[in-house]
Amino acid sequence: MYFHPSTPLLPIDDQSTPRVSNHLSSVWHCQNKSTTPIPNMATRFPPRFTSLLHHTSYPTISPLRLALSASGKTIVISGGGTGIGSSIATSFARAGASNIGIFGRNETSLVTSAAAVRTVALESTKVAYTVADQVDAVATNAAFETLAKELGPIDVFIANAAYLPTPAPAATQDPAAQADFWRAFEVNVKGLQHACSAFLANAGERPMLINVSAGFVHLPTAAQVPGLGAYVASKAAADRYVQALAKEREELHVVSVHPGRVQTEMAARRGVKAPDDGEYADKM
Amino acid sequence: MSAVSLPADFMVWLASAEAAFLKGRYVWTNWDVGEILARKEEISANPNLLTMMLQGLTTEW
Repeated sequence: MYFHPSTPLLPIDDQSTPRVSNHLSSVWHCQNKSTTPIPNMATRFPPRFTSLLHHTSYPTISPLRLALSASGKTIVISGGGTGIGSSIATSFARAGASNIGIFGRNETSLVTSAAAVRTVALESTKVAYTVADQVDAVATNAAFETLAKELGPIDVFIANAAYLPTPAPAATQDPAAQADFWRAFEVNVKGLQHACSAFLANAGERPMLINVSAGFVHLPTAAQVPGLGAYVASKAAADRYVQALAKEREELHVVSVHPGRVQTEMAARRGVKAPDDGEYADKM
Repeated sequence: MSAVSLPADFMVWLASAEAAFLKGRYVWTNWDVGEILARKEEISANPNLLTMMLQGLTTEW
């Protein structure tokens, strides 16, 4: 199942992402200096911490690498029925995770996703799904209790579910757009609190929370995209929320991650080209 | 645009022991893991690196 000895540890530069110079990589971090040249848009994205950038998987992060084995771990993913969440579940299955649980609102998607995970999982891996809308605290708690009962204490929770509103002006007075604005906060902040609380009540001894964020939350105003105010504001709140959790729960390993610009169904329906993912687009 | 395989596989790395030093940080999946690992000491030595905060402050925690 695992390959190891021949796996190159150095990544292969993928064809679509030419190596950029160190000069450009330093530009991003030095933009507060007035003498810094302004890079054009092509060199601005994605903001880089490393000179080499990727747009597809590569050997160093291959789930088949022995050092990345998830054997013995119980993983739960919100919004695991579609898009990035479903693919994350599949990757953990390939990494040999002992238990994988997904939840979301749409049972049909969850059934399809769980079946796909099953096809690449080890015979011994347990795969479970449960239907829950994370805006509903009772349902979310019940989902985590059900998954923990079936799979055991949860080691890693990947908070992936999100809601991307229809783009609207930040100062909109249209009642429907304002309701949609608030919907982003309900799912991305209130729902996140429900899910994280339920996770911690059903977690193993060394819990890990991976917060699937949106890079917009830390990019400068110049890099923002008009119309995404509700989404960005809610995702920024979500990041501060997980930092609050990290402060209060020393044993909790919290890390936030920008998933990249992946064209998911959620984004496509909104006509947005720089999305994150979540299953909340399904019925909206 | 990125293929969905990038965030999917990156999460597995992020959950592995290799990425334990990124506790509390914020990362992008596009960044090269080999280079991030090469900067492990630099990151661990600077608690404010790869975190969200106001730039230009001199006080450090």
